[in-house]
This record gives sequence, structure tokens and C-alpha cells, in this order.
Amino acid sequence: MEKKYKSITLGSTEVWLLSDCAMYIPFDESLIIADWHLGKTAHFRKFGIFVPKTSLDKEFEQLVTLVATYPVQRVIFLGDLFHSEWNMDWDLFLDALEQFFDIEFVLTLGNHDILDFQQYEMEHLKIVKKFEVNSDILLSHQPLKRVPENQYNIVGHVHPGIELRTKSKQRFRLPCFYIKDKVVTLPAFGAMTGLYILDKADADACYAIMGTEVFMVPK
Amino acid sequence: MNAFSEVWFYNQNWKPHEFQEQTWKAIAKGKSGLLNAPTGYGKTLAVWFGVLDHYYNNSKYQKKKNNKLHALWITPLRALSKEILLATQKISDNLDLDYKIELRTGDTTTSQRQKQRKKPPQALITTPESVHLLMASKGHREYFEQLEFIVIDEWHELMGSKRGVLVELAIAHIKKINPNLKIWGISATIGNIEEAKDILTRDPQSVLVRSKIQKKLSIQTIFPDDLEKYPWTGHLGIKLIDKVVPLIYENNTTLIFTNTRFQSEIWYQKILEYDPDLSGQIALHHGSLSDELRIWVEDMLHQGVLKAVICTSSLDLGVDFRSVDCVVQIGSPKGIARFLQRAGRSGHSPGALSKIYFLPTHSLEIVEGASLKYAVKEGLIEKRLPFIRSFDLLIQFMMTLAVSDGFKAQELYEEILQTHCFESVSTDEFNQCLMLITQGGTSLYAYDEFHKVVVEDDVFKVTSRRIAMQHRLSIGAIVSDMMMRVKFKGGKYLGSVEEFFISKLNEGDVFWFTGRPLKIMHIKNNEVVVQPTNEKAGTIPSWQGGRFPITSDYGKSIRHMFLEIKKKDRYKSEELIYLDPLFKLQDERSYVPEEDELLVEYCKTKYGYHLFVYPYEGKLVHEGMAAIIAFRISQKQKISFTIACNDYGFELLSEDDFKIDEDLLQQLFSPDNIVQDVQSGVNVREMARRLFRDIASISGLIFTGYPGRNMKTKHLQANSGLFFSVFEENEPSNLLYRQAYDEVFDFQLEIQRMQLAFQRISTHKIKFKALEKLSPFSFPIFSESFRTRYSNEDWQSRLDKIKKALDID
Repeated sequence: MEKKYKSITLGSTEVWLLSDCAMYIPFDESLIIADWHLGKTAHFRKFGIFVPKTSLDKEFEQLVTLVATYPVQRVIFLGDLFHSEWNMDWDLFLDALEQFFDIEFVLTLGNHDILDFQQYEMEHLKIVKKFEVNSDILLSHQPLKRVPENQYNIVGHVHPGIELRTKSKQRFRLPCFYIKDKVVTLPAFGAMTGLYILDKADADACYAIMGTEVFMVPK
Repeated sequence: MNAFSEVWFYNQNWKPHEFQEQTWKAIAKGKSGLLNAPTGYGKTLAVWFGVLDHYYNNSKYQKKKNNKLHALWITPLRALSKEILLATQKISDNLDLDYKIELRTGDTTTSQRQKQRKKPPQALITTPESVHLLMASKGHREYFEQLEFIVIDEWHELMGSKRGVLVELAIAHIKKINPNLKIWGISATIGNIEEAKDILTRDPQSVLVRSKIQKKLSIQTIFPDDLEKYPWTGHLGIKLIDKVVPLIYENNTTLIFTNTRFQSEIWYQKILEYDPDLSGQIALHHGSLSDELRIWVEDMLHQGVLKAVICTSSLDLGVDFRSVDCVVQIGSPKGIARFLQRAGRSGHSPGALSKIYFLPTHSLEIVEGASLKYAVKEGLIEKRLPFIRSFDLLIQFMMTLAVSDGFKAQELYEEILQTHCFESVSTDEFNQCLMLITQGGTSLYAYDEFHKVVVEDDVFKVTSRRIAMQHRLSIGAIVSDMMMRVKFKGGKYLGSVEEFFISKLNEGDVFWFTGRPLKIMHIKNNEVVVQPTNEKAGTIPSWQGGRFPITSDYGKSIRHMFLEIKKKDRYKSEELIYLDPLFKLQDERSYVPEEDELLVEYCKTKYGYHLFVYPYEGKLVHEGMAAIIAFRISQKQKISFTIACNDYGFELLSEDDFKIDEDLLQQLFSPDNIVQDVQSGVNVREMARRLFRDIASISGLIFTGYPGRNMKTKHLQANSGLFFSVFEENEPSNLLYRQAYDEVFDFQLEIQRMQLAFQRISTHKIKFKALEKLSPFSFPIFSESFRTRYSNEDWQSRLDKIKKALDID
């Protein structure tokens, strides 16, 4: 089986950049997922845009596969988990989470998560603003203003991508992990999300995903 | 015969042309028809007096005063509408008629629109989009009850675009409301003028009136002094500026046509640098400038104040500028009709000479001077291909009727079957469109909250005000890119540039626009605030689009010229004689093909291994042909290519060496299995994906937002590529998704033309040459910067390629 991730170290913590557009931290067996934008098509349909509905089951399968591949104790969603205000999909999703009774689910709130969470009883999804792992990693949806010197801030939000050109003038646009000034931006997990192309020259480090492989992009 | 025209022509001391009298006669008989005559000879008058005559000889209109709209005059351009208004208004004034004419375009104020609704004038001069907006308002059936005439100006221009479909739909709908409706089209000469008439009128009894007047035309090629110093490639032609400036002085007013807005900005800047005395006497005119600037330039042209205007297709159509007596075409005009239309912008008065200079932007392009003359002499002119089965517009039209008074399915189905565009739509396809707008798709979804159109008592209608408003804002068939508004700090609006261009700039950067350097003060939302500066450096925005391929007939005439190269001098045109040294070099490095040969060149450079092929079939056909050849090679060896094309030929570029020889080439150009092979090419999907953007926008999948408050709708936006993927995966039978592929085959690949090209080539001998150095023929293609990607490899090999390119393990 080929290697499906790239291991790097942030501070003293080893993290794996997964080719499934997610991050895994072996230290406390955490899986980190940014910008899933679940139910985006359903949201569009509600506003009269006749895009076919993507099934929640299919989207959910992505998560099931990951949890089956790696030993996972905790899943942290870095915001923008859902694309819209409450709809039927939410209930279905929360029900589905309950299948994983031995896994803790955490959501760091994002700008698309406009749901008033207090309204719903969510035993299986803990809502926080930020979340700390192994004292040198801080997770949030968008970069935080004040991050202690010794910490890396892992965020989502922008759906980073990178454009690569080859000698024969071909262009590739690939999702990427983008590291700059101790901020690690994860690619979006959701299928119905676009890429925001960043300049690789500005990054301290950048890891692109192609197929099942993650590789470092030289400057 | 026509009392009004008799008096008016007598007063003007004019004599009507034969075509005018024929038109009046036909209209008096109650016929529909199409009028084809050169510009500047009174086409408008020919139709207009027929309309007036009908109005005043019809007791219905004379008994009850102030009743309903009598005529709609549809033009493709707002600028043209104003011109028509002035011309027709003048007649009403001269003859003291109470026939009122008003404009109804995107510029019309809300209060004027309301007035036009309550108390309509006799005639409205309008655009296809505005007619659809009228149909999107409640009570439109009563409004059009007594409409007797729809006149379509510049029908040749509309017919080959989706806007033509808007016209077809409007006609079919209004004809249903008033079966007495008469349709009159006005068209320049095109290759399929009979078909143009039939598509427009849908009436076998309709007449085609053709004027026999031929405009006098002079075509001259501008030659560089020294062929050796003229570049082998390029799109600008600036090196010939010293030939252009004297033309400006020699003539009254010169229009300098460029193919892109980018070129026009550069030429404007360079002419002023070359001859500062011309400052204040020349101007710039292109589609991204604000209306205000453009109207100012047009006014100055009318007054004959300007010596020259550098323009793009924005001045192709309409409006007569009497002072213009010279036209310069920079670079390939890409089409015979377009070239003639531009030439016709000079010498507008009857009997005057139309004078046009062709300025080649690279040496090989000089051939086109000869091709143009040949095409004009032989009377070659393009056909306009009408769009058919444009389901995006059918869905848009359903929505238009649903937001007005609603529609009944069977009635609408019968109505659209009357149009050329939708005559072959089956009940099943029609029902699929209905399902899209009522339940959001063809499969039934549980827990769905889809809201768009509801059915009450068999009537399909929109009940949500928000959806109705969104729809009214999205009516039309022109899809524009996300544009940024450029303005001064004081608020004066200068024009728009693409967001993509601005995204590469920062505050404080300088760029050229509206013919001067502008410094960016700040960028906010979709506005760029600038101030004039003296700093010279700066980039010029390059707008996407505007790069159209040559037409098939133009390609034919270019190919014909290349086939004449080997003739003796006295049979050759001056352009070919001039280019002789270049052809000699081509022969030295490679080969100059005979009429029944196809030249193929193979060359290694630092970019990789290049295969050049020269079918002279035009860029579109080359794109498809290249994809087929690439696919066929890849069937035999594992390899991937990038493709570059121009109108003369195409290039396959690979990083790896590949085996190729004459025998293999003969097989590669087999005319069998073309459709299958092109479908196996990755390109078809990519092309469909690109075209899907327009389809998604027209059918209402992408809402570009309310004017001035784009941000609000962001949560409803996804790029069309994502929509395309969702359809592909979840609903591949969707009509809009399939339409993207149909459009690729009909308009992008021109599959029929391509099949003919393969058949032609199969009778040719293939001449294969391995080159030491790039040949003059290959160079323009080699340097073509717009490339399409073609790859038959899986992601793993592509990844390896990236890694190799990036030098990583």
C-alpha cells in the first residue's frame, strides 16, 4: 500500500498531512477536518438552484473511510462544517455521528456555521471557539490574532490551492496545505468547494495533494 | 405606392432605391421578410415607411386614439437604438406625424418604463433582452395584443449567437398573442441569407429583398520595409506604426480596428508616443470603457473632430460616422464578413469608396492580405450557424413567463415548436425542463425544500418575490466575467477590468487603462479607485475573450493562398511575391507543400519534442484534430501532450521523444472513427466544462448578484466547474449537461467540418520533415501562449511529471 500521507513536525508534535485533504495527529489520535460544507447542494436547491442533490451518505463515507484507516479518538472540525442554516441534513448528520460512540467530536465555529447551536441537544458534538492539542498546537477556523510564541495555529477557511506548471507548459491546480508564519492552513475537505489559489513563493512551506499522494512543493 | 415616402423623398430631393420600393410593396401586401442591402443606402427607411403606411392605413389604429404598441424595433446595440430613434423621429417630425417612438433599453429609467407601460408609444426601439424583460412583466399579453410589426436590425449579427434565440422566442410568443404579426429582418450579406430569412420569419410566404447595389471597396496590405526585420510571430504589429501615422494625416478620419481591447490600449499609447502632436486628436473606444466615455468618442466622431479612433469590435456595428474615410485593420480580421463590415465603416455616403488597409502583425500573416482580396473577389462569405436546442434559454424563457402571468405547459410547448431553435424538442425533453424548474431535477428527492416554480390550476408560476427579482436581473444570453469597476476618487466611472487582472496588482501599482497610466489608490469590494499619474511603468489589462478563431470560409481562402506559393510570380499576388524570401527559408529548413500535400514537422527544443501539422483549417478544427491525433498516438505509445493551435496549424508538444514517421502519420490521419476518438480525448470534457459556465449562468444556476451588492449572494455561488461535476456524477442525463457537449461538437469542434478536413487530408500525401531549427511556418504556433492541456495519463504519471519538473524526489 502506498503512502497516503506526509509526516511533518510542528514544534514538538508530529502531524500527518493526509492526501484525503485532512490532518492526523498521532500524539492524541486526532483527526482534523476543515471546511466540509456539508449540504451545500441542498442549500442551493432551497434557493431555487436546480443542482442535483448530493447524498449525505456519500459525503459521509469520506469520514467513515478515514476513521477506519487511522486509530481515531477525536475528530475536530475546523469550522464551516455545514454550508447553511438548519435543514434535515443536520439531523441526519448528527444521527450519523452517534454511530461512532467512542469518538469525541469537536467543532471550532466557522463563519458558515450560522446555526444557533444552543438550541439543539448535541451530545456528540462539542462546540468551541478554539482547541488546543499537545500545548504547541492551537486549532481554530480562521487564524487567531493572539497566538502564543510557541504555538502553531492550524486553520481552514480559505480552501487553499496551488498552481503548478511543468516544462511542457501544462498547468495543474491542486489543493494544498499552506504554512506561513506558524499558521497551517488545511485544504477544504468538502467536494463542493473550490480552490483559492495562493502563491507558493509566499509560503514558508507548502504541501500539495495529487491523487493519493502528498508532496512538498519547492519554492 | 407609399404616400409618406413619396412626400418625404420628394422633400429631401432623393429618389428611392429599387430595394426600398420592393420592401414597401411587400409590407403593404402584409408580408414578412428579410431585407439585405449595404449600409448607408437607407435600409432603415425601407422598412420604416412600410410600418408607417400600415399604421395610417389601418382603421383600427385611426379610430381609437392612443391604444396599443404598434411596432417593436430590435437592435443588437444600445448605440444603434439611439441612431434608429433619431432617424425615425426625424421622419415623424418632418411629416408632422403623431406616431410616437421611444427607446426601451437597459438605460431606460424606471419612471420612463412605467410610463411606457401605462401609455405606450406607437413604437419601441429596444434590444432582445429588453423585450424579454417586457415579457417578464404582468399583463404583457394585453400589452402586445395589437403589435403588428417586429423589426430585427442586424439580424446576421444576432442569428449566430444565443441572443438570436431570444429573438426567436419573443417572435413565437408574440405571434401567438397576435397572429397578424409581421416580421421584418435587416441583414448584411451572409452565406446563408435564405436560411436567415426562414429562421426569422418561419413563413414560406415571406420575401427576401436583396439590393443589387455593390459598394466600391479598396483593400491594401501594409508591407514592412524590410521583411527580414519583421518578426515571425506576434499579435501587435507596432513595428508598422510609421506606416499608420501618415494614413491618419492623409485622411479625414481613420478608424483603427484591433482584435482585442489590450491591443487597442497599446496602439493608442504607442501612437501618442510616436507622434505627440496627435494628442487630443485621437481617441480610444472599446467595450470595457464606461458608456460615458464611449458616447463622448462617438459624438466627437459624428462632429468629425477626431483624426483617428483606435477601437475594437465595439465599433463594428451600426451608427454612421460620415467623416470616416479610412479604416485600418490590425492583424487578421479572422472573418471575411467582419472585414467587409469594418471596411464599410468608411465611405458611408452612397457611391463613396470604402477604403481599408490590412496591417499584418507577423510576417506569415501578410498572406492574409492576399486571402482577403481573393475572398472578396470570389464573393466568399461566411454562413452564420444558428444555435439549436439551447435548453438553457428554454429554461430561462419558462422562468420569464412564470414570473409574469404564468404559462400552461401544452400551450408553451406548441409555441416553442414554432421556433427554429426548439422545433425538434420532444415532449419528454420539454417535460424534463419543466421538472427542473418545479422540482429541481428529474429524480424525486425526499426531504427536499426546492422552491422555484409552482403549479396552480395547471398554470406554472413563480410566487416568491425574491426568485422573481433574481430572474429579472439574470435575463439575457450574454455572460460576462466578474468585472471590477475602475473609478476616480471623485466617483467618475472610467470602465471595467477583469477581477483576475486586478488581483495581481497592489495598491500603489500603476496600470494603463483608458489610454493613460493610472495609479491604484485602493481596492474595495468590486471597485478600484485610481488617480492619474505620470509614472510611465505599468501593465496593461488583458481581457479574456475577444480572441475569436477564423471562420471556415476565411480558412479556405488562406489555404488557397498557401497553395499558390509555388506558382510562377506573374500568377501570384503581391503579398506572395513579397514573402518569397520567407518561403525560400521555409524550403531550406523544411519544405513548402504542394496543393495535395500535408506538411508535418518534428523538432526538438528545450521545451521538449514538437510535432507541427498545417491543415489551414482554422483554430477550432485544429483543436479537435490535435486532440484526435494526440489520442491516436497515445494508443500506440504511453505519452502525454500539450496542444497549441493557431489558424494555420497545430502543435503537439511532449516532454518525451516519440516515434513518428510518414506511415504512422498516414494512419493517424485516417478519417474513420473521428467522433469516437474525439470523445476519448480528455479535451471534450474540458471543453464542455468550459462551455457549461455560460449554460449555467443563462439557465439560472449561477446568480451573479444584485447590482452593487454582490457579496450578499456569495453563499449561493459555486463555480460552474463544480456544478458540472455534480451533474456529471449525479445526473448525467440532465439536458443542460448534455447541451454543453452538444455545443462542443457543433460550435467548438465543428465536427462536420473536421470530418471533411480528415477526408481531404486522407487523399493527400504526407510530407514529414525532421527539423534542425524551427521553420518560419512553425514559429507562430510555437510561440502561441494559449495552450490547452491534453493528457491521457493517470494522475500517478502526471504526478511523476510534476515531480520531475519541480526537481523533487
